[in-house]
Amino acid sequence: MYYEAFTFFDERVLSARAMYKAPLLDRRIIDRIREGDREVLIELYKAHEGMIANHVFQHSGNEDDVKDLMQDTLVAIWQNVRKPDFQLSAKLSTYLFAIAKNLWLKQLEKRKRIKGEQFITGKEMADTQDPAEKMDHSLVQKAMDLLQDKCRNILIMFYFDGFDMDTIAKANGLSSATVAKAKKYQCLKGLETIIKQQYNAADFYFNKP
Amino acid sequence: MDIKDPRIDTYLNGEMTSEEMSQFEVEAKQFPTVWEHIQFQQFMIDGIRKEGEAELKDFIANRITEDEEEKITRRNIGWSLAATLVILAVGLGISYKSKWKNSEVFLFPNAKQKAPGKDQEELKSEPSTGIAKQSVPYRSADSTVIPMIVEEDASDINNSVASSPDDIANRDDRENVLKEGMADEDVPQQYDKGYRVQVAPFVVSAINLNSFTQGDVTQSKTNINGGSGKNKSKSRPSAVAGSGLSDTVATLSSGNVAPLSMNGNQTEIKSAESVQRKKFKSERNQQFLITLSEQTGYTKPYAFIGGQTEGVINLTLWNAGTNDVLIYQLSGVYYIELGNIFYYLPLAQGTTTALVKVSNPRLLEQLKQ
Repeated sequence: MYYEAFTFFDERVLSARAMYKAPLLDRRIIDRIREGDREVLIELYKAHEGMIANHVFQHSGNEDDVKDLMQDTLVAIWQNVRKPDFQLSAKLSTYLFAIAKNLWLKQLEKRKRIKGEQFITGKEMADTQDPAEKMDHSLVQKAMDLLQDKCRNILIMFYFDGFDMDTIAKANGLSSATVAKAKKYQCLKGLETIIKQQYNAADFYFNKP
Repeated sequence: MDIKDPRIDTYLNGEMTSEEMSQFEVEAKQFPTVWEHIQFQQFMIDGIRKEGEAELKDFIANRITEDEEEKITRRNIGWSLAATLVILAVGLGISYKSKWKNSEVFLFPNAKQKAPGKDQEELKSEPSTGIAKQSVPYRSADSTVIPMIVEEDASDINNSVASSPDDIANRDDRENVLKEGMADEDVPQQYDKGYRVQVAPFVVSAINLNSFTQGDVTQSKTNINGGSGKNKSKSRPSAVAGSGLSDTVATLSSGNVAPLSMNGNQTEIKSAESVQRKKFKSERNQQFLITLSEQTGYTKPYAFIGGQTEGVINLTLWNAGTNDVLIYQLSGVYYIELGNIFYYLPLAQGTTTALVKVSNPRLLEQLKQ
């Protein structure tokens, strides 16, 4: 009897340890990000800037690097947290710092590679470039400036923020999710038309099969 | 498969599992047109995401910059306020010190220059046109201020100024002391002792003066000059050393105008320049004991008539500033001029009233003449 009770207690402890429960403050921040409250990013920025800056300064970075890294990190957190299957498995500050460290490492590697590539000619460099990087998304961004504001908002809210159609409809003054979905389709078509009118097929590269 | 296949949207929206995606890609690649369409759609969606990222980064950067600027502005405002306060504090300190020094008034500072009785001799020997000159060293213009800080004598005359309307109740008694204490014979003794009064700043002065009509001037000068003859002065006298008139320290007379000017705690009497030859019928001497104060918090000039003591009207003025104080009497009505602005001077006793500006143009013209 005693043994069973002990076993039960032990399992419960193990179970509690296995499931990380984020602190209340972290959960509130996660909830606010899911609700689409961008102001919370500013709070995170101010709360963690010092920690990230220390890391960047220790690894040959400067103040501008800190700002860029903070922005990249927060954008990554925004996108990750807004995914439906996101679960925080550590303290938010730990998670944020891990993303920042990873991004900074990538940035340093990129700089190292660019420094090595200074001795390679332009043609050689073009040949060695990743096809995915070769695709110039700035074409799309420029084309988006020609879209109506509402269309632009709908596309960004759907594809970047990942809002559902109900929220998009409410935010853009549309009567229903169905109307919002139709509008999104219409806007994407409009963007496609602009791009194809403004640019040649040679301006963008597709990795054809 | 064609480009209208609903699975294309599911694929592009990332709603497939990795296995489903792999299977779909294999199938789509068999239709080049469809695959190219999917690739183009994916390219646009990636561009939209990049635009979304850029927008979010801009938002973060702008908000942080705004906050930093606001922080700097707030800090600057804080420093500005602090600097202003320091400057004000220093200014007030200097002002306080300066006023404190200035207010260390020797009672009757000119007493040594003038022995008792000498006034009359000088006045007798000089023509009546030199009245202004005579009035300059006159004791009556010396500031009398409160509170007495260091040395205080029961017989001292200089603690008789009301600093606020609340003090007015005690004014009469103190003013009596003031008058009594201003007897000439007391002056040299006090001065010889080095009697010094230290006074607090902001209290301006108390002036005991007589205001006369033109006829009174004639009469008063007659008294000064020995009690005979008519005053033939062409100048408009502003002040007369009037020991022969009363025991008040100053007797001001300028026709029906009694001018005096304020300069900090020092009060001096200035002569008027214009000439007034009209002769009026003599009237009873109207004496004013004027107390000037600025320590009230009022913004407008206020006057208080504290009653008469032995024929002397006790007049307390607030916020008269550092302007000349001129009292006029016209057709029995008293007016007061402060900084070229004329006010009615009501003589209702026991009331504190805001001075009302004279707006009648004809009356103003008469007063300015």
